[in-house]
Amino acid sequence: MRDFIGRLLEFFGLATTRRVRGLVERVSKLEMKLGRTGAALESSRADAHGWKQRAEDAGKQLAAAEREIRKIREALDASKAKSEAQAAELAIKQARVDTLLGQLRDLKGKVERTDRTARATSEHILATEMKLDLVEAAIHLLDMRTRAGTPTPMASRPQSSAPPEPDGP
Amino acid sequence: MTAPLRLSIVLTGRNDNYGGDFNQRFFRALRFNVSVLLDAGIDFEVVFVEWAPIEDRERLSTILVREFAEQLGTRLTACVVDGRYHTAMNLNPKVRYLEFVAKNVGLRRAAGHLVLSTNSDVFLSRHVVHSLQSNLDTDTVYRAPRYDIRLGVDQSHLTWDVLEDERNHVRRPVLEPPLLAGGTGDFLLASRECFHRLRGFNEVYRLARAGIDFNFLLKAYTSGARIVDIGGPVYHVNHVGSLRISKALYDQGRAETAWGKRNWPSRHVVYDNGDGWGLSQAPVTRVDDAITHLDFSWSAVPPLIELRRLVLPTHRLGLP
Repeated sequence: MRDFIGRLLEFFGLATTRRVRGLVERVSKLEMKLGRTGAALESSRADAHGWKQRAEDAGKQLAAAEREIRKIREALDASKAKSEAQAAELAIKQARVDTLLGQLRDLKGKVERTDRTARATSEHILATEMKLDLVEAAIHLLDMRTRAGTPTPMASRPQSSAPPEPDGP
Repeated sequence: MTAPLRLSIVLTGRNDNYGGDFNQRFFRALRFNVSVLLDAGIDFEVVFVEWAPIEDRERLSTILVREFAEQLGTRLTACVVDGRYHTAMNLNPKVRYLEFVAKNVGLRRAAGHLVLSTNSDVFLSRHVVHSLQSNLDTDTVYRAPRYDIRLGVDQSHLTWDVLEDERNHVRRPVLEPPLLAGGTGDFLLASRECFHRLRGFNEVYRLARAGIDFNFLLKAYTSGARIVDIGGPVYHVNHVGSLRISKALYDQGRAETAWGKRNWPSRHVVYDNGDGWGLSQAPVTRVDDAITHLDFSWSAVPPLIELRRLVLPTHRLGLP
């Protein structure tokens, strides 16, 4: 019966109060939902705008970073070139140092040999000095013994002032 | 078969009042050393060499035999060396006593397995006496630092306690390797074989008396002998005229004192004594049971100079 009444009202473009109330409630809910959706949409739009802004900013940062990286790469390349030049110079200097070290070792060896020779010579000189001491002492001793053992010679007679006697008879 | 004699102590001196009352100082030290050695049960002899005794004075050998007849008995051997040997061998008129040639006379004639060359006023320490009882190496020269007892200390009752009292010590040196020199002549202990291999002290360079003992250490070390600190000291009572106290008398390099030439290269040049070292060829006259006399003979006198016997030492690591 209710369905017959509902269809009859629909024929005249009318509806039951319950139906109207239900529809109104439904519309209200839909409007609320629409409001929410709209707000969400706005929020999303705002978010999207924010993200867009952020994306733009990120893009700018990325570009700046890429520029920075390019600069660093250029500096690195320059530095690398400089390092290679310095390495080459270092190698030259190292070779020179090695040469000098070799010469120093040779010189040190010569100094050590000279030092050994000098010490040996010094020892020989000392030994020779000792021998000279002994020789000197022996000579002195023999001199003393000779003087003690040698009688004192007599003084020589003075020469006569008379003319020499003629030769022959 | 009797056991070989353990120890010979070689000393030298004469009745010349050296250093002020030499005899008293000598006898005091000898009594002490003989007493401690007898107490330790060590078989030993004393070989005393009286070098060129002073005329008109009683021989110190005679006095020694008389003073120590009871304590030493047959352990004492005295050898009197004719004064003409000093005249014949001495190269420096200022040197009045060829101390180390005299010691060589004793070293050559010592009979002990071990021979101690020391001085007449040296007191043996407890440690030394104990070491003499132990097995000592035959190719080693043993050294001991000399602790000087201060001048004027009462010597009438010297005991080890008095000698060991640091308050009585003037100096307590530490011997430095490798030669362990310093007061060397006061303590040189080695086997008889070692002394004979080295042929005693330098008899070639007879211009000096000081430094001869150091020169022996150099000779020993460069000849391959070990030089070892025996681990304990000997004691020496300071007296007027000892080298340490008399050093100021030295005029560097000039042979004008009784110690002879001081500044000679004893640290650089060594020697090679001849076969007749220690007057081994001297004819001997026996005076009595304890005393012999080395009569003068030119055949026992080494040549006035033998330059080839001054030699350079072989180098060993560790020598300065």
